Amino acid sequence: MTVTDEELMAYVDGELDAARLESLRLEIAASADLSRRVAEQRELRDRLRRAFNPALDEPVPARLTELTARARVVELGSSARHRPPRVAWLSGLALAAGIVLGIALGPALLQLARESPEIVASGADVAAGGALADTLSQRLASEQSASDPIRLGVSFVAKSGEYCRTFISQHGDVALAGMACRQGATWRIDALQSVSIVPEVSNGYRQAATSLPPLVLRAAEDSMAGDPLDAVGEAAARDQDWTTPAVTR
Amino acid sequence: MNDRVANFGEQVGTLLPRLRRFARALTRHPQDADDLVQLAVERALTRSAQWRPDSSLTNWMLAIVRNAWIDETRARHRRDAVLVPENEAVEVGDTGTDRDIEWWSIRSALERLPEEQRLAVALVLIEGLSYREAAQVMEVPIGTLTSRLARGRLALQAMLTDPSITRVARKD
Repeated sequence: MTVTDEELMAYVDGELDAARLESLRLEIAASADLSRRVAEQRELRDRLRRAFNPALDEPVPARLTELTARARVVELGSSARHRPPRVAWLSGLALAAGIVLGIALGPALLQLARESPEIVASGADVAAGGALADTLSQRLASEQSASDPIRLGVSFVAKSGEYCRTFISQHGDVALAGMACRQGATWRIDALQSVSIVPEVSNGYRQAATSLPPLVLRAAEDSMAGDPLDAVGEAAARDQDWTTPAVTR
Repeated sequence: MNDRVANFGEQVGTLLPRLRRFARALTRHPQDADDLVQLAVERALTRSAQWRPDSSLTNWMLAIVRNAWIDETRARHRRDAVLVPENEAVEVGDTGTDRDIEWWSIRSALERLPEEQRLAVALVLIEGLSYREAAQVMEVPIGTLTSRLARGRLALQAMLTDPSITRVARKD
């Protein structure tokens, strides 16, 4: 009687029922050939695990931990003092070369962006208009609340020397998330992506849009010259109307 | 509800090492794996309402990683993009430590498997899922899972235990 490969594999994987397990165990013990095949199966599994298990012990990049931490904090609702340190998601990044900078909008969002006074064409560029431009110019991240229709993320000095800020602007079921950089008197939009809002099932309350989508996160990570501004630095930049800093802190 | 969602982000956070290990078995490079995990976590956070708390969050997340990977590979095929020069592997094989060479041999053997077999191998042999769980993640009947797993194993064994095949693969 022959034992199939699949049955031996099921034996190694602990997938046999008790009766077959017992009878097969006896057959294997009595057969050098079966013992060898079982040993080969175990060796293959062990090699695979040895090769991949180190991933479990490596530190997880901050860009990933920040995603889940941010979901937690923003969903909790509100207060800025619960925010994780903003620097956290920037440290230790090993960015692959050739990161996409750009604008990703589905057709519906494209229409929304076109209709929204917040996004305006400015020559070859796209710029912030209306309430978005005002918020970018005037508001501090530390003063906002979770219910604001436009919320600010990080503010920082880009490698170009310009000030840039990330934002999420909510429009019903969808939100636009983006990164805007101060160019002269306008906020040029360097990255824009849609964020879907999780509809709330139990009581009709809608969650605020949460984390920045990957395109925007990467645009910010890729552009940033140093650490994001802290609350003091952000206020100082705002008070100077976001003119390019002569010296960065 | 806010507590539930807050808890959700936290729980997904604890799964990140597992998700990275799984993603590494699917992708060619650790950076690609982290990109894939990032994509999957983004998706999971926007779809948290679809997760039933009485089911396994781990398996739900593994399925999201798998689906994101399938979407990504299809998109890549459409773009016909070659992301990594093929000859990089030879450099690793020639100059690496024993551990690098072992990693590379396994990595390159896995890469030669059809996608479905690689997924079955990763879920059962690396992630330690039961056949039933792996079949659910892959959205196939158990019989399909076990036959893909068996074919994947036999192919891997042929590549990894025959030194001449391994050497040919390394110089590829």
